[in-house]
Amino acid sequence: MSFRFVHTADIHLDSPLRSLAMRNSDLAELVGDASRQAFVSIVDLCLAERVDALVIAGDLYDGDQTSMKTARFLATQMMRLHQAGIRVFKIRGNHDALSRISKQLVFPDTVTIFGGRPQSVLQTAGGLDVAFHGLSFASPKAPDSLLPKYSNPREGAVNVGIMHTSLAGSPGHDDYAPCAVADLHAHGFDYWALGHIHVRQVHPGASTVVMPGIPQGRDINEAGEKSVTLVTIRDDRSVEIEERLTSIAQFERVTVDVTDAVEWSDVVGRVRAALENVRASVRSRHAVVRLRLNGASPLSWALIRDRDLLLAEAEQVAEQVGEIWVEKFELNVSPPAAETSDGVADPIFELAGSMRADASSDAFRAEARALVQKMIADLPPDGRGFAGKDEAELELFLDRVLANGSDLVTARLKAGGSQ
Amino acid sequence: MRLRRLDLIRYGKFTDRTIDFGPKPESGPDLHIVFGLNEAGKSTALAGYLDLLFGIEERSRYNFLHEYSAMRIGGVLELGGAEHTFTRTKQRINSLLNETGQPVSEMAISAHLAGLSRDAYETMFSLDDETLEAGGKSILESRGDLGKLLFTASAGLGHASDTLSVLEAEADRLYRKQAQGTDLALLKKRLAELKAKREGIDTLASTFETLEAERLDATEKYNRSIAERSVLSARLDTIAKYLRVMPVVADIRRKQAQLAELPEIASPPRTWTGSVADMIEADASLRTRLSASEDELARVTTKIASVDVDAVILTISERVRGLADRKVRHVSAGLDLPSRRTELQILDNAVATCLAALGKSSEPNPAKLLLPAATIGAVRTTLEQRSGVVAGVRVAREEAAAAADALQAARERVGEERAVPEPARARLVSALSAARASGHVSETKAAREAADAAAIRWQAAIARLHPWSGDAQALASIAVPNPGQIGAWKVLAAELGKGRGVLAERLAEHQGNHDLLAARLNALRASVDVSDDDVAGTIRRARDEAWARHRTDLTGETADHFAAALVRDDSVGAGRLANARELVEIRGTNRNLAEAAANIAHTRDQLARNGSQQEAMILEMRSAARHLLGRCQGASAEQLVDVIEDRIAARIDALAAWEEIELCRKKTERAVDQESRIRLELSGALASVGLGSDPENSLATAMAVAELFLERQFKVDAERTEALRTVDTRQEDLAARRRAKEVAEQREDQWLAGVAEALKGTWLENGISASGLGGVLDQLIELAKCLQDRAAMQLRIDKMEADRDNFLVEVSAVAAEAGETARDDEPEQLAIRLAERLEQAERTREAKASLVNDLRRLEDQRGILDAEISAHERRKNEVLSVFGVTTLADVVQRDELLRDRDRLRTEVAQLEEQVSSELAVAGFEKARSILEALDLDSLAIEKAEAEQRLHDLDEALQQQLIRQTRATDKLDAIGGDSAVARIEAERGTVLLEIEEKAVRFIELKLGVLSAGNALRLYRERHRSGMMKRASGAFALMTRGQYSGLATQPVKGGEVLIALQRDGQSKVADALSKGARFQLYLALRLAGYYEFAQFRPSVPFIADDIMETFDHVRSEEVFRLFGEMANAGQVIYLTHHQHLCEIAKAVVPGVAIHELA
Repeated sequence: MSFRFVHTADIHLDSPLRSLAMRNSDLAELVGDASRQAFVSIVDLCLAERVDALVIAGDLYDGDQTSMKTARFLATQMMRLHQAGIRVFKIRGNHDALSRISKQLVFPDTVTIFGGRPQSVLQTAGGLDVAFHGLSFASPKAPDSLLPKYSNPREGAVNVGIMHTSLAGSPGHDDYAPCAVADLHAHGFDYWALGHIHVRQVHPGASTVVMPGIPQGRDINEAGEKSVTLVTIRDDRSVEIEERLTSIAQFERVTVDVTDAVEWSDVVGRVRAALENVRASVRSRHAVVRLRLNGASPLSWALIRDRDLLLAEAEQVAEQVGEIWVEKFELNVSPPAAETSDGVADPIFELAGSMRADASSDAFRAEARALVQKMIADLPPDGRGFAGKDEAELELFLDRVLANGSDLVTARLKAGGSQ
Repeated sequence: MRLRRLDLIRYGKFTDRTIDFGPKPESGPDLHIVFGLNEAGKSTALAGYLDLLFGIEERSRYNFLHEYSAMRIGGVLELGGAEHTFTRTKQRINSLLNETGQPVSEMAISAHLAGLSRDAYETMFSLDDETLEAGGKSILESRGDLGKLLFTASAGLGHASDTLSVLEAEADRLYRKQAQGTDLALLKKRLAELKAKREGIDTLASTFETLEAERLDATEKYNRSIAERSVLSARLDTIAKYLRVMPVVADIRRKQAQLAELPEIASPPRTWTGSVADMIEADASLRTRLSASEDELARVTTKIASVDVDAVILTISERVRGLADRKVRHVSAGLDLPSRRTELQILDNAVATCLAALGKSSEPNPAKLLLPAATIGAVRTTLEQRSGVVAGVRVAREEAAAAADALQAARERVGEERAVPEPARARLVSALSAARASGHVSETKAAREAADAAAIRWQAAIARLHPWSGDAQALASIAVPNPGQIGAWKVLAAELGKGRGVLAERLAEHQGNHDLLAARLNALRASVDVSDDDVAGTIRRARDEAWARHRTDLTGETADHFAAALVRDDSVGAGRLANARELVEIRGTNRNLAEAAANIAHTRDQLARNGSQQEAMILEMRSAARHLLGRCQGASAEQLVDVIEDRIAARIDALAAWEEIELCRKKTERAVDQESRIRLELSGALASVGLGSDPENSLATAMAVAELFLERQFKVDAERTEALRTVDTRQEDLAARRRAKEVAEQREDQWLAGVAEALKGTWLENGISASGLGGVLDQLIELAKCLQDRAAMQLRIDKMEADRDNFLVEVSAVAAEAGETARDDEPEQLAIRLAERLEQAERTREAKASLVNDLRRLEDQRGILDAEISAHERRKNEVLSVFGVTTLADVVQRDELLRDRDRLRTEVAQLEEQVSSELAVAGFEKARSILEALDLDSLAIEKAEAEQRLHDLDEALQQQLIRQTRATDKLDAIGGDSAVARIEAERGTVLLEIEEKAVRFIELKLGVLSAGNALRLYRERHRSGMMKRASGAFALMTRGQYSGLATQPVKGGEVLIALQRDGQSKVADALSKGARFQLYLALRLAGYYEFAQFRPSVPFIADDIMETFDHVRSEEVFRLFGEMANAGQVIYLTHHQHLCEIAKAVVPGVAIHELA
């Protein structure tokens, strides 16, 4: 006899995937609703494993999510769980703290949504009494630890705490209900079902503390397999956890070494091999990859110049490999060492050197900065973030575009107008 | 670096081919021309050179002869003053080998190439048509921008400006402020579309709230209205019930009043069955039936008494009936007998006929003639075989006769004799084979053909000796110079020719130099307005003379004259002083001019000496070969030597042809002799077989006759052999036919014996022929049948006569017994009368029996009727007693009254039940009390009001239902689909695209800006070094049409201008196409110097760039390359011979390498 539940968090329902690969209408058709597919697969998992409960540790959806279609969808899935007799325990996180759509939803009585005051609910199944302790974010901000508000463990029951927290936090990010893992272990609960951080983390110790991660990555910064945690509590109160894959589309960064590649077809061949490797190793249905070319090659200028052509070829290769999609290329290639060392007589390199020097001159940077700012002002508000949030990031952005611009000119001069 | 030697070991079409450029000249330009016709492999050599330096290209095209693995290039390079031998193979690593075949690092070469890649080397240090064309274009596109021009020329690029404008255009396509069609503008538009689309299909949480409230409100109101309507509806139902039962109550009252008027007696109990009306009817019916029964009984009894029966005839009834049968037979026999007797007579006649046919008319007992059946069967079988036996004998006899005829014919054919005797034929065969084996025909033909060919050669050789003529002996005897003498003449002529060529070239060179100097002098004189020494001397002398005259005369006129002369002299002097440098140059030029003239004169002398030597030699040759030459006039010594050699060769050929003709003639004669011998022998042989031959016929005809004869003889032999074989066959055939005839005759005899055996012991034993036997047998069968038929007929006649007699006896007996009077003449009538009397008696008897039966039945019926009447009377009395009346009619009236009263009572009870159940109360009394309490008027008013209210409620309900349904529909329509999520996903993608394109735009824009800055910097760095060189080279190449190049600041930069000789200037992009090429070349030269100024030079390779250049321009280019070759090695590849000549004229030190 045992009690089983699935633990997930940060589903961000109907929050779209952010990838240039979605320009491909086939892919958009397949994964345009990836977060829903992931959620359906979580519910499917609950039904297939005949678990006793589903725990959602916050951020079920984004705060700016106001479409009732999302709510309707959610209600349908909750009804499936209800009909199978599976209970749901859900707290609200920083993103869905004030969600309007959840207020409109009427859930079946098997769904427990914890409020802004701590609450404990006892469920008896599989021969065990399990107490779920939950507390929702009352507002999108929670600068202080919520742990002191949680009640003490209930005697004779297995205690599961559900909390949305940034744990110790990370530099440059706001803290959300900060809390030390050690304090969690010390609280006396058997299992801590956490949410908020999108990368899966398991913190072993007196208690089992699990951050399940997002079940479907949304961009390249959420790369890798994404999953939920299937928890089994045995008669002897021992806790066993399993990771179950849920991501429909998986983001991956792939590096291709093009050192000494002499022929264009050679590069395409290496890209193909890399894509085939990734496809073989990725377990999710779709792989969305960002390709980075590394190395010194006589082809480097041609690669910089014909990056679009290379992307088109890579997309074609990806189509042949199947269920793998290329979102973009990052080039980190250089010509063979002999060509770039000092004292090279090639006037193009002399010009390139001058351009590099120019990039660090104050006058030219000021001109460049003005151009960037003027350009950005003419873009829609949602599309202005690429040059960075502050002065420092803007300077980094300038470094990058100036280097790329001069490489582009050099590549065009070097490799001719067209190939 | 310098290319000393290029070894194309296995590369392209080359195998072990070397181009040796030799050591660098001690002084003067290091210029090389590699000359080879089209397809000679110039481009291959160039590619080979680059492959040697940088490695063989991955997908080299030069593997069509040698495979990749076998490809190999080698060469000797001068690096840093030392020579190094390298070999290059095609592999990815270790492809560069040193002279000992050991792999060496690429650095061994690349260290001397200033880090240049293959591409960079190709663009910077090689030049071809395309680059030149692009270079000219780049000048146009640069709009004279100095930085771009200098950069373009030193990098060897033709597209730098083009590249920057392409990038700029790309950026503009991505984004321009306020522009509509740019990529970014389109994306922004798409974003707006997506927003609108989302708003079109999405339902926000706030809208949802409103809809939900609306739905709840409508539902609540609806439910309230429904409740109210139910109450009202129930009340209306009640009112309707009251109104419905009112008329029923009235009906009850009326019926109770009727009941009160009817008697109160009880209804009598009903103990009988059937109605009273039936009873009245039965009473009448019974009376009628009783009287009818009595009448019938009386009538039947009377009838029985009146019937009488004939008993006599009835006792013999069986015998009377038997008479009828006998009478029929009697009558039919009487009718049949005459015809039967006639038939018997016919059969007697048939028997007589048969006997006559058998020749036995007198036979008293014909039956004795009949044969037993077994005998007839045997004879019949034998008879059937007869036809086969007779036919067999006939056929065998005919075939035997035919075989005897055929044998006779074959014997006659053998008797013919047509062959010729064997020995004569053998002689003919041998003569013919000898004629065939002889080869004289082909020998004759070959000899004649060879003679013809030799004659043609003779004619050709004699023609080459024209104008000499004569026969072979004459030709053999003329004198000719010996080979040693001719060799000496040849050497001398070549030396003289070469010397003349050298001298002519030198003369041309001196002449050219002289012309150049003269032109320069003219130019100098034209360019400065200065008097040269002669003129100045003349003017000075004029001044001195004027002074002397003035000193002598001292007049005003002389003073004026002197003053004018003085002024002119001063002005000349001042001019000369001001142009002292030009004057010095003019003087120098004059000196050089004089030197050049002297050189010309000297060279012309040498040429004249050479001419006289040649004359002398020609005279000597003419005398030595006068016979051969005749009047032939050779222009030069070399030509004359060639003519002599040719004539000698022709003489040798002619003599050889003559010898051949003689040889053939002899061969032909031998062959003709042999033919006549063969012909004689063949004629003899033909005569011996009796064929005379015409001596006029050719040998071939005689051979054909002989062959024809022999062939026919072979055919005759074959025919005789065939005939002999036929005679044998015929003889065998005849013997076989004779045997067959005998067999057939034997079979006929056996058959006859068989027939005789079968007939033994019968009356036919003797005296009957085989052919008649069939007819006798047929007659015997016919006779048997006739006899049988006659006996049967006699039997039938006898029986008929017996039947007639029996009938007459029986009729008489019966008539006597019945008491009928018999008359002999009519026995048939008597029989009929008896039969009629019997029938009458039987009918009377049956009628009486039937009447007795009827009487018995009537008596039974009478009994039944009496019983019915007594039962009826009993019932009638019972009914009358119950009702207490005397007649049945009274009973009917009383019964109807009581029935009406009972029906009314039942109806009242039913109506009361209806009322109480409608009002749902127990008992009619309770209902009546309720109804009596009601006020009908107020009920009617209430009903009308309630109906109106109900109508209003229904309308309200409808409205509320509509509201509720609408809200529910809208909520249901929201759906849980992912349409909005998908739009959001697309919106996110569009935003990413916007970012990507914006970044790209920024990169492009900044790249172009930065490149502009870098080009300006490049200009500053290289202006001083390159401008001077380029200016000088440009002036040189334009032959002074342009005096040089200068720069001019313009807004945002500096442009290059060309200075014309007349002092005007032109911006670079305004130059003519030709001048632009020249300017580009001048800039390339400057670039080359700029490179070579700080680094060891590398070879510069030009590949036939002068395809479209005229002579003058080509000279200019070579002059330029000559200049460049002072700084480093320059290699020019061409397939034009005339360019080699031009190069040699312009750059005397040029080395030319032929690539055959």
